Amino acid sequence: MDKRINPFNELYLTETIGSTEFVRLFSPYILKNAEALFLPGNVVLQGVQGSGKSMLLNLLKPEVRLAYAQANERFPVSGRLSRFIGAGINLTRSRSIDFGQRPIDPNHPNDHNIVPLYFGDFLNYWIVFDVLKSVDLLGEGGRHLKLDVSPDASLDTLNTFAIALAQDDCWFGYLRDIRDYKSLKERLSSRITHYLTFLNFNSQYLDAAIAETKTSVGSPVSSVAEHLRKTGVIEEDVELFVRIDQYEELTRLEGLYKQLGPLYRQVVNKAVGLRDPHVSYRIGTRRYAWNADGLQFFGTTGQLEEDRNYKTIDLDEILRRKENAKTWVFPDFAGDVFRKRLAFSGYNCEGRNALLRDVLGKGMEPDDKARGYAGKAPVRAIKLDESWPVSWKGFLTNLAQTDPLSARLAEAWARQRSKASVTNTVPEPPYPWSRSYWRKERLDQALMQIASRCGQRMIWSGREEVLQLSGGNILVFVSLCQHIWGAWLRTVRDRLSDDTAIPIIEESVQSVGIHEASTHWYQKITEDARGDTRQRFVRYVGALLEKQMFDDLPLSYPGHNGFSLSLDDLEGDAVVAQLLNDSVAHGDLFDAPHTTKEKNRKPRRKWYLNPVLAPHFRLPHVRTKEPMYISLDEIRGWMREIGIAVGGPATTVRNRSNKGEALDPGQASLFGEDGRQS
Amino acid sequence: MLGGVFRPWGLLGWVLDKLPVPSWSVLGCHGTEERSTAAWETLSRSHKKDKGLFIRVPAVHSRFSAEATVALHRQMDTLRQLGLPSEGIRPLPLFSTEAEILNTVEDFLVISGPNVLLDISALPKRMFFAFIKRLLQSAQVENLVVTYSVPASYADVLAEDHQTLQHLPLFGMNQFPEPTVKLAFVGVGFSSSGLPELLEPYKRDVNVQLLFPFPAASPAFQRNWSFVGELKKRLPPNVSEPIRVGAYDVPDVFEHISKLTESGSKCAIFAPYGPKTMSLAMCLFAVQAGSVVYYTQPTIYNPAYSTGIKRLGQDPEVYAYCVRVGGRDLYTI
Repeated sequence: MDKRINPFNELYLTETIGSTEFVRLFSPYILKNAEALFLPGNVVLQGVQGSGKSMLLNLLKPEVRLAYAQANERFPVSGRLSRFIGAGINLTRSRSIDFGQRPIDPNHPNDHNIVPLYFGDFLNYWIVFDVLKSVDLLGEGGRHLKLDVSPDASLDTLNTFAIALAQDDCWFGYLRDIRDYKSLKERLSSRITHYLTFLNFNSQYLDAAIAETKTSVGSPVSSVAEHLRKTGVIEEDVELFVRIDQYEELTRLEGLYKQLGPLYRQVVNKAVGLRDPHVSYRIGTRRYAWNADGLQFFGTTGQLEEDRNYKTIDLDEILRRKENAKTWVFPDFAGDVFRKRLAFSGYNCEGRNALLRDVLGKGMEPDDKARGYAGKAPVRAIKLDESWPVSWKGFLTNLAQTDPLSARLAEAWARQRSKASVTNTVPEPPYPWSRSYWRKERLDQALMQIASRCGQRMIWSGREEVLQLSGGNILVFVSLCQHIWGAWLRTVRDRLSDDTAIPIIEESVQSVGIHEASTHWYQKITEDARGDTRQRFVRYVGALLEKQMFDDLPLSYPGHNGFSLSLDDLEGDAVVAQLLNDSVAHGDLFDAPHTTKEKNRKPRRKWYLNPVLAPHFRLPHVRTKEPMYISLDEIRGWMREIGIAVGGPATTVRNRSNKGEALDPGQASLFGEDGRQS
Repeated sequence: MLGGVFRPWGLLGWVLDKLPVPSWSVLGCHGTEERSTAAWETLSRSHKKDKGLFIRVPAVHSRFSAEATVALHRQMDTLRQLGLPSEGIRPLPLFSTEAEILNTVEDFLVISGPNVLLDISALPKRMFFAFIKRLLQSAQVENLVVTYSVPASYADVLAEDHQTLQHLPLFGMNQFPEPTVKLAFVGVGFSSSGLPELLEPYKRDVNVQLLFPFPAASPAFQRNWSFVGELKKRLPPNVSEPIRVGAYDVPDVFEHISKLTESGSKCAIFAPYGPKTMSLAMCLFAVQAGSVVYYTQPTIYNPAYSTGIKRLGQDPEVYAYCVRVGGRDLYTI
C-alpha cells in the first residue's frame, strides 16, 4: 500500500470506473428508500449531479451484476428484487437528441410533427438492441456464475425467440425475413446505422423502408420482453428494467427549439405511460427536468400521473438533512463510503465502527474556535460603543481575554433593542446571552464576525461539519474528503511509512482542505450549463449576504445567510424564477418552502447557498431563524448588477429569435439592409 | 515535407501569389472582432475578390449586448469601406439546426466559383467545421483555401455559459455499435470548461493527447498551462505529456494526429479547444476518418474576444492554408 495515494482521488463512482472497482466501492446505504428501483413499475430517479443517480442506475447494468458474481460478492439486493435484466439508452450519447437537426422529409408540410415518430422509433431499436446485448452478457456469464437471472439461452432458444419476435406486428414487417438470432441483431444494428448516417448528413434521404415501418414508442420493447419470457430465454418472474439516462437534455432542447423540443419529452412519456406489466422504465433526471409542465403524452391530451404511472425517488430529498436529524440517512451512507474508500486503498478498517469520527474527530468547540481566531489580541473580537459606560467596556474587555465568544455575544446583547440596560448593571453569571436558544442561534454569526475582525479564516472541521457541508451530496462529501486528505498528505510527506494505521487529521489541516474544496466547488459552477451566469449570481449573493451578516452588530439577523421571496413574486417574473430554479437544479442554491412571518400570510420560498460554498464566502452554513425577506424588485436589482436583463421598471421589450434566444434589441434593426452590395 | 505531402501554408498574400487563381469566392463572417475583416482587407488589396457571402451570428442578449452592437457597427463600417460581399450578410443564429447551417454553405456553393476561400477567423467552431466538411464534399470546389487572422490580443473572458457536451454539427457518431475509442485529442486552450465531463466516460481506456500550441505569447502561455494543470488534476492516469505543435502550423498538427492514430486505424475522438488553427487540423482529420468531434459550445461570446489585428508592417497577419489545390485534397490519410 502506498500511503501517498489519496483514497478519494477518484471522485465519481459511475460508469467511469470498472465494474470490479464498483463492487468494492458501492455503498448499499443509498438503497434505503430506493428499493422501488428494483420492483416492477416505472421509476423517476431525481437528483443533482453527485447525488448518486448514476451509481444506483449502474446496479441495473449486466456488467455490474456479473462483476458481483465474479467477485463472489453478494449483490446489494437479493431475492425477488434481484430478478431482472437491465438495458437502456443514454439520450445524449446515442444521438437521440439529434432528431430535428434536419428535416426527415423536406417536402412534408409539417415535418416537425413527424420527427418525433422517428425519434420514438430510434429509441425502440436502440433499447431492443441493448436488451439483446444484456441477454448475451448475462447468458454467457450467467451460466457459469449461477446468477439469479440465468437465461437458458442456448442458440436454438435464442433463434426461436428471434423468429417469434420478428413476426410481431409491432415491427410492421421490417423484421419479417429474420431467420435467426444473429440476423435479428444485424438487422436492428443496420437500422440504427441508417439513422446515424442520415443524422450525419451522409445520406440524402432516410431509407424508405424505415418510413414505412416506423414503430410506436415502447411497443417493440414490450414485445421483446414478452417473447423473451414466452420462448424461455428468461424466466417468467424476471423483470425487464429499461434505463433512460440524461432525460434533462430533452428540456435543454426545449430551450433551443420551441416548436419541436417539448415533443421529445412527450414521446418518452408515452412509453412510460404504457403501463406494460413486462417492462419498467427507470428515468434518471435532474429535478428541474421532471415537472408538471412536461408530463403530456405524445399525440394525446393525456398525461403521466405520479403513483399511477410512475413513482419518484428524489435522492436530494432523501439525503438532505431534515428537521429531525434521526431520520437523516446520509451520515451512515457517507460513513460507509468513507470506510470503503479507505479499505480499498489498503487501510485496515477492521473493528472500526466510527471511522469517520476517528479520522476527523468531533471538530472544534465554538469557544475554542473563537479563541483560535482571537489569538494573542482577543480584544479584536469585540467592538466597543463609545457611549457605553466604562464599567461595561471594562467588563467586555476582560471577558474577551478569557472567552472572546461570550464577549462578542455580550456586545451583541447590549446592542439589541430593549437589552441595553445590561451596560449599566453588569450581570453575574450565568449571563443572559448564554441562554441556550439565544446563544445557539447566534453562535455561527458571532464566530464569523470574530474571524473576520481578527483577520482569520473561519475554521471548519470534524465529522459533523463535514457532513453538514456535504449537503446530502455524496460527490461533495468525497470531494471534501479528497481535499482534507490531500492537505494531510502534504503535512506528512516527509515521514510517510508503510504502516497502515489510520490517521487522525488535525482540525487545522482539515480546515485547509475544506477551504480548498469549497473554492473548488465555487469554480466548478461554470462547468455546467449557463454556469458563468450562475456563478456571477452566486458570487453576488454570497458577497452581499456576507456583508450584511458582518455588519449586523446586534446579531439580530442570524438567518440572513439565506433569502426569501414570496411565491407571488417568484411567479411574477419568469427570468428571476428561471435563474433561481436553474441555480437550485444545478446545486448552487438549496431551496425550501417556509412559513412567513408577515401578516399577509403569503406563501414564501427561501434559498441558501449550497453549504459547501459557505467557507468560500465566509458565511455560516447553519440555517437558523428567519432568512432575509426580499422583494421582487430587490432581486431584480441583484440580477441587473450582474448583467442579466430582467423586468420591472428598467425592462425593455426584446425580440426573440425563432430559436428562442433573446436577441439584443439593438441588433434587430441595426442592419435593416442585409449588407448586400447595391 | 520530405517524402510526404506538401501542404502549402503561409501569409495570405504570399499564398495568393503562388496559386494560379485569378479570383476567389469568399465565405466569411461579419463579427464583432476587428480581425473578422482582416482577410477581406488583404483580398481587397489584391483585387482577387469574386463572389462573397458573409454570415453574422446574432448576439444572444447578455451583459455584452451593448458592446456587441457597437462592435458590429464598427465592423460594418469597415466592410462598407472595403466593399460589401456580393451576396450580402446573412444572419445565422449560433444554435441554428444542422440543416440550417448546411443550407448556408449550400447556398454559398450555388453562387460561388470553383475557387473558394473560407475565413474562419471569426466563425464559431459550431459552424466552420460543418462548412469545411461540406466544401470538401463538393466536387465543384477546385481550390479551397482556409484563412485565419491573428489578433493583437485576447480578452480575459472569451466566452460564457457553455452548453453541455455535444458533438459538433456533422461530426457525430455514425457507426453502430460505437467502435472502441483509443485516443482523445484535446486542443489546449484557455478554458477547459466541460472538458473533464467529456473525458470522464473514456478515462479508463483512452489515451488523452493534449496538443499544446507553441510558442505562445506570454500571457497565453500561462493560461494554456493552467488548462493542462486542470485536466491533469481531474484525469491523472490518462493524460500524456503535451505535444508541442506549431500554433499556426496546421500541417504539423495534422501529421501528429495521423501518426498517433496510425493513419486513422486507431479510433480517435476530438475536442477542439484552443486556437482555431489547431481545430482546423482536427477538423480536416475528422472529415477523413469520420471521427466524432465534441465541444461544449458557449452561448455567449465576448464581443472583445480579441482586439486589434496583428500586423506585419502594413499587412494584417493572415495565414492561409491550402486544403484543396487543382482538385486534389492535400489533407488525406
